[in-house]
Amino acid sequence: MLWLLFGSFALLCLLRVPIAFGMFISSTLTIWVQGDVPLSIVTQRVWVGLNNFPLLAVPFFLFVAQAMNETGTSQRLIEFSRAIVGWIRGGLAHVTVAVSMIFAGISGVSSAEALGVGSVMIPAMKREGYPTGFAVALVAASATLGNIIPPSLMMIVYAATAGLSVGAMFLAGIIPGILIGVLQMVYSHRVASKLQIGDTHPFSVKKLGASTLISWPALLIPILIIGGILGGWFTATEASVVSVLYVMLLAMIYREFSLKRLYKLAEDSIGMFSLSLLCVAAASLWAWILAFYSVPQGIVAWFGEAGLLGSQLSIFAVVVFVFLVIGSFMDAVPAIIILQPIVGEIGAAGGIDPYHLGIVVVLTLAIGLLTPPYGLCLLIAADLGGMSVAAATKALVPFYIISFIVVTVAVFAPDFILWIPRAALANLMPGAAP
Amino acid sequence: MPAPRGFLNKLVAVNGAIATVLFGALTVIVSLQVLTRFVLHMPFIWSEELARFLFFWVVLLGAAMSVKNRRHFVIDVTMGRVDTWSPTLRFGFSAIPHLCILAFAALLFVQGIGYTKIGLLRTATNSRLNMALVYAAIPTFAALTFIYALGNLLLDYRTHVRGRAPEPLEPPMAE
Repeated sequence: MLWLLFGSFALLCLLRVPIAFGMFISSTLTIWVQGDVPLSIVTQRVWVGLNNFPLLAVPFFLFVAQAMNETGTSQRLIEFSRAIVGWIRGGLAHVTVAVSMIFAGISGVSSAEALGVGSVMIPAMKREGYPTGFAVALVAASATLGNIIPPSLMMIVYAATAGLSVGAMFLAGIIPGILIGVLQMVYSHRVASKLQIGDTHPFSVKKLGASTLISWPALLIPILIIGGILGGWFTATEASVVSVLYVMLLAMIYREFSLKRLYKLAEDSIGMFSLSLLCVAAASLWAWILAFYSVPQGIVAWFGEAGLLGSQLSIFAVVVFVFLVIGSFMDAVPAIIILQPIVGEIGAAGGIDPYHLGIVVVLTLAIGLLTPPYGLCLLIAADLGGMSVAAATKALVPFYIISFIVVTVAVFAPDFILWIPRAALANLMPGAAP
Repeated sequence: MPAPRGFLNKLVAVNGAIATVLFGALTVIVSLQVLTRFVLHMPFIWSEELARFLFFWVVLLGAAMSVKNRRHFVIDVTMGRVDTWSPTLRFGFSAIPHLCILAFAALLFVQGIGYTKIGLLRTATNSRLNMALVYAAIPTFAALTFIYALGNLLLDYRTHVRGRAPEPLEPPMAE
């Protein structure tokens, strides 16, 4: 049964059948051959898989990300970041990281971030003498923060699949996100000092004032989202729709919107989020079959026999390895929904806090955005910088190391990483201090 | 915007327009839910349910659209080597995904009609909506997907085997 399900799925992927349809077809085939349940389960699972209120945050956050680039909000945030960190040695590199962090606090999609930030910052860094490889790698690596700093598409899907609180998952991303951003800035500073570049923008209070004045409305969004969830005013879904309204209000104030553009933007966003969400529907069927045939339990038993359940460390080593490999070949959303039912079961058997496991998975999959052949941020940034994917991958090595350091910290120091959600949402989190 | 030419392009334009209007309605309803909870301290009992139903329709209409526009996630193991193959071989290889999607869409359509009929007998708890209206999104998605996949198959046949220039595609969308 397992061979039929996984084997036909792998074959369909090799034949370039889209992943969502590959999952649907291999599951349907398995049900038909096994004959234990009627085929009507297929339609039923499509409905059950999508009939999930937290998933409504996916279209809204994606729409916001698209709208940010479309309405010039990204541009204003870059000006603001320039005023706060642009004067440090390696100015534009710090601006890139800072604006990526702010952007990440508004949008949950890394690809939109790589495109929005990269299209401005890569040419700007090139002009000031930064090596192209460094500029491309920095934009790609800092764009992964989009999925680490809340809100995050990966976290919404992970929480929805694992039955966790999206809000708690979001809050768990704050510390690792800041950690990655700070390490990227430290590294940028070293590169800039060594090459004697990027020291041309003196600090100016006037500039800071002026750029704050034009960008403060956008800066309120992350405060609204994170504050709203921290304070328990909003659920993640409500926060997402509030940011949609807010972005549209901003667009009207800045007079950057026509109804026609709004329509185009919405239609385009629908085409995009439906890709991930059809995978969610397909995975709902897939996960149901796995559960029906007790596959996760079987794999857990197999893990136990192999002696891998003995320590949480060995479980994490396997999880990180598996998601690193899978994340290089496919999009993070299908990767999560295909593997979460199994990984979640293994984690539970090993006594790992589900949020701890979730944040490690998300951090690992974020590295997958930077690894060939299917690393969206890598592909977008390399394209913007006009360099080959191979050269960009080489330039990314220091950033892989930074991300690995943070994954390691997340594995070994759950109390540090999960401090914020545990303090804020004590009733939701297992292992929280009373 | 010039009016789209050809049956398929017209269909996808209507498909997109309906999806976009429903997405607008979804945004309004979830906003109302937040607003009524904050301002009136009593959200409408039907809003959350209706939002889930609209979401279901929007996602499936959007997913069908993306079949036409060939945007669904694919794992590319060939790394562009296909381009060096002979036209017939290339068409054979590109036809496989279309045929798989066609087969699945046909099955889902039949199953979806059956499921919608069951829906006729059910009413949603809070909004009193007949569930057939909601479940009908599944056969609609299946039918649209079937038509689009068939269209793509014919288009590939014409470009690869008959060597004719492809029909003008939709302008590429930003990723």
